[in-house]
Amino acid sequence: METLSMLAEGFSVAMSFQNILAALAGGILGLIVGAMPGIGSLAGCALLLPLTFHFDPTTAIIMLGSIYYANMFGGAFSAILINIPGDAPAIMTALDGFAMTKKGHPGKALFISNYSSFVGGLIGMIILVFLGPALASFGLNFGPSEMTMLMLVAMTSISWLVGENPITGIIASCLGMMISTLGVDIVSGQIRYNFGSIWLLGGINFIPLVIGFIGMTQLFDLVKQDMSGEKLSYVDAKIRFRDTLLTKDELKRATRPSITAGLMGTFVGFLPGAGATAASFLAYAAEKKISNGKTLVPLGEGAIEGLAASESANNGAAAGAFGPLLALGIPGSGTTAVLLGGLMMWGLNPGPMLFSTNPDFAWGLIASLFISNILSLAISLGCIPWLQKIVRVPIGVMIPSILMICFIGAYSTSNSMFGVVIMLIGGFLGYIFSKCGLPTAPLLLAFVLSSTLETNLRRAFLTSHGNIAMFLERPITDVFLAIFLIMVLVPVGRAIYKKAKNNK
Amino acid sequence: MLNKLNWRCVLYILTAILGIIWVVLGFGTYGFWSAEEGPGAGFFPAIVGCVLVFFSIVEFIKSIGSDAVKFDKEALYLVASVAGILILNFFIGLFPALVIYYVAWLKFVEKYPWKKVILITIFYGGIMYGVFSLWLQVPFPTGILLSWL
Amino acid sequence: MKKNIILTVLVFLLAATAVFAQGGKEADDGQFHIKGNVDFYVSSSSGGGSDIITRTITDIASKNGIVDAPFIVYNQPDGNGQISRRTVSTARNADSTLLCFSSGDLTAMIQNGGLTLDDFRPLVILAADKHLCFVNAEGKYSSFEEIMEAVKNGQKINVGGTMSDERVVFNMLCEELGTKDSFTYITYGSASESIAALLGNHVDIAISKPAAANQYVIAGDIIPVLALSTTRFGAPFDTAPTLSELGYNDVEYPMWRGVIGAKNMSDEAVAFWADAFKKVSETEEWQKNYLERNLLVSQYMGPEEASAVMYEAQAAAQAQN
Repeated sequence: METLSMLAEGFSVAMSFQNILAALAGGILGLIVGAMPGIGSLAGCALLLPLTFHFDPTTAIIMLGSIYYANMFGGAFSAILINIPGDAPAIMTALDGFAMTKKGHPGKALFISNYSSFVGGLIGMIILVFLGPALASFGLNFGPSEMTMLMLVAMTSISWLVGENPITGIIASCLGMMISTLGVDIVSGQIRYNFGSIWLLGGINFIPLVIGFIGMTQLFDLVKQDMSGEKLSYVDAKIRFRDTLLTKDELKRATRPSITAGLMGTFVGFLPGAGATAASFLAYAAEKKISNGKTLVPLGEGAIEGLAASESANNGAAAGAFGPLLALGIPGSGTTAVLLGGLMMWGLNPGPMLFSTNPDFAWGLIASLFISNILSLAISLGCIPWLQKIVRVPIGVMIPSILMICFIGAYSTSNSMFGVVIMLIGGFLGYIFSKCGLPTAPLLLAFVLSSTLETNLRRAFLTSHGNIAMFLERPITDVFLAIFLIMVLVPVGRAIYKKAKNNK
Repeated sequence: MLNKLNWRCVLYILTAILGIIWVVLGFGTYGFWSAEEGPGAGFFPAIVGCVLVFFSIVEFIKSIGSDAVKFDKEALYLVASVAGILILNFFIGLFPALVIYYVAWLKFVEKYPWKKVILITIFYGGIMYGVFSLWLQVPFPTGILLSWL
Repeated sequence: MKKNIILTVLVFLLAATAVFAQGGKEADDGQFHIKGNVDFYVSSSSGGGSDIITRTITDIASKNGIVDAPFIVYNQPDGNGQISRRTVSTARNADSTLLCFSSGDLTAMIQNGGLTLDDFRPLVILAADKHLCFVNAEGKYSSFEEIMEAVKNGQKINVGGTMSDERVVFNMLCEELGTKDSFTYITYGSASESIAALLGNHVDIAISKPAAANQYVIAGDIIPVLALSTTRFGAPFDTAPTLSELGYNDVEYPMWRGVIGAKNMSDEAVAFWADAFKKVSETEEWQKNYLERNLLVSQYMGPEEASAVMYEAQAAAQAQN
């Protein structure tokens, strides 16, 4: 009960006219920046941070919270409308979201994405309020061996994403993992696979790679359509406003995945160093198993369930990441690290002392998260009628516009032409891959997950001095090991059983 | 035999070669395993490389004789666009290069009337310039012509 | 007619890019003046420690009229920071190109190879910080003596820290103690990650700077057990003894943050920047917004002093490479 009264007090702090106005401004700016490919939530927060310096501390932190939160909403827009994921978690959003757009339902896709983001965020925040500090301390138990097993499970579930030919999925994943090994090895500090180039020392930045592999690759299809004149825009039919509203059935289809994925996402968000990408991906893979055969269209071809799972988990993780940040002072992602910097600028030191030394601040911030969740939902729902007009833009105009934003976005991630080069290589490779039947999503996901896997695997060996038993001795690793074995052995067993049956 | 090979086969030969490079460097140069420290910098990449080589070979064999891969000639438009932007960027900087490409595409590929071309360019280019350059202060490269001035 | 107006606007748009890059002021008296903009490079992305100090400096310098020319901050994290370092070392407008530089950057530069301090002009050091060893309050060990005792009994100790300066100070520590085989260093991406690992008992010791650990020490979650400095730290870190108190030689590798310029920077420009940063470091905003927040004391060092400190650190880093 004490928690609730604290939260109520937090709301009374956050609800002043000035604070709401600041949250609104932060929400709108955060949405715009989040929707810009190449900026993403990390750079978006960093770029908008100075804006908050003009206000008094409480207002500034509320604005910061809403910038962060709206960024998460905005990341889905470009993924759904023009198939350019603004940041890593949006890869999963683009899979089903853009497929829905191509089928003529951009408004619905945006609606579902906003709705699920809201639900996922809400779940995350409620958990944060009641179980935040407890879960954050539990997350500390995730040491190198636990993280290794979690990542192994995540990697294995990539295979669920690939259709008929799992071998191409494995090849693509291997390529993604190999790209992630370029540059300085973070465990030993050794330089590897840079082939004498200083550009490769720091490895490959993820954002330009995604912009290339997904955003630019699709241009090849667009150019072909444009030249053959078969289609004038992404969607030729007129889009009416009432088409964007969800039917009862669609809402029902989106709700259950939003809840399960929101719970899952929040939990992953609480783990130090796991991040929103792993959350949205794991939730998506799990959704594929849960709703197997019960969806109208398979996941990946424009299924409401897939889109809902990805967006909800992403926002659940965003809220969950506040747990370790506020309770322990540990940022779970790059973006929360920027937030931590922002909070410290205001003389606030998140950590074990925060809730006792600055309760009004801490609860004000949590209350403002609830407010920004509602505000972001309202703002983005209000934008849908205008946003969905984008897909009616003629393809002939779309092509140079997308190419331009690919260049600008790739350049902006590190302010150098190296990003552009990565983007272009990704774009051309993506085209060749798609022609040869090699899927690109596993490559990108493996790229993101593999550095966490590798570092933790090696840390695990280092801390245990080469003793492999640490993967068996700890209870949490045992659980993951069991999941992993089930995931690997069940399909194999089923295949053998089928074969035996057919032979009879 | 040779006429049965297609681009798919070439791709898997390339990925296998890439895998071999990763394995050789991982085992040889970067250190696979040391007694005191456990896995070295080459441990993980070498394993991944092994897996890649194996499955590349499997997929290579499967691809022999499969349907030929055809690339679209329309792709050349994009290749030309990218090359044009990169060359212009060298001389006049990235943003002007992109604007010129934008105008050229709308005018000469899409054959829009000038008025429409300019209106669209100002609208879209203005948004891009306003957001990225003025607001977010991204320092775009300026090209060698400007540094002579 | 309408067409002409539209064309004019377009030309203006293109010209704006040019003006943006060229804008600046001309010199109007005999003193040293900066031509055009000041390019201030940061070798990490927005939001990191180097970025925060750079933006604080440029903010103060512009607001208080210390430097008239506009600053443009370039975040160029490519190539592990090596790209921005190379860019600055060979910059053509050498007098107005600066690089935010710390001992961590120096370690990375030496590791990556190809560049040394000889390719730059050291300008100033603005802040310095030292390290401490921490243990978990509920962990196996509660003092550094206990740890050394355990080492003698053949126990292995896991030490967590970041890749740059903390790794260097760890190696120096091992050399002094002769414990290279008993201590295993686990690299973490940031100080907060290594402290999280310590809180979860995944490492036995975490090496960190005081600011990152402050909260946890006050809360009693972790205990400082060793000061890697020649003198003890202030409260709440004053319980940690130095190595000389334990009967060894003191080990320290001060982590400093400063600014360096291009190799070809003129002497007038070096004097100008040294003076400008001195003024920045004397402002109240610098005290309040930067030093106090990061538990630092003012540590201004001019070009000669800074150069001496940087070369000393370079020697230490090269010795380990």
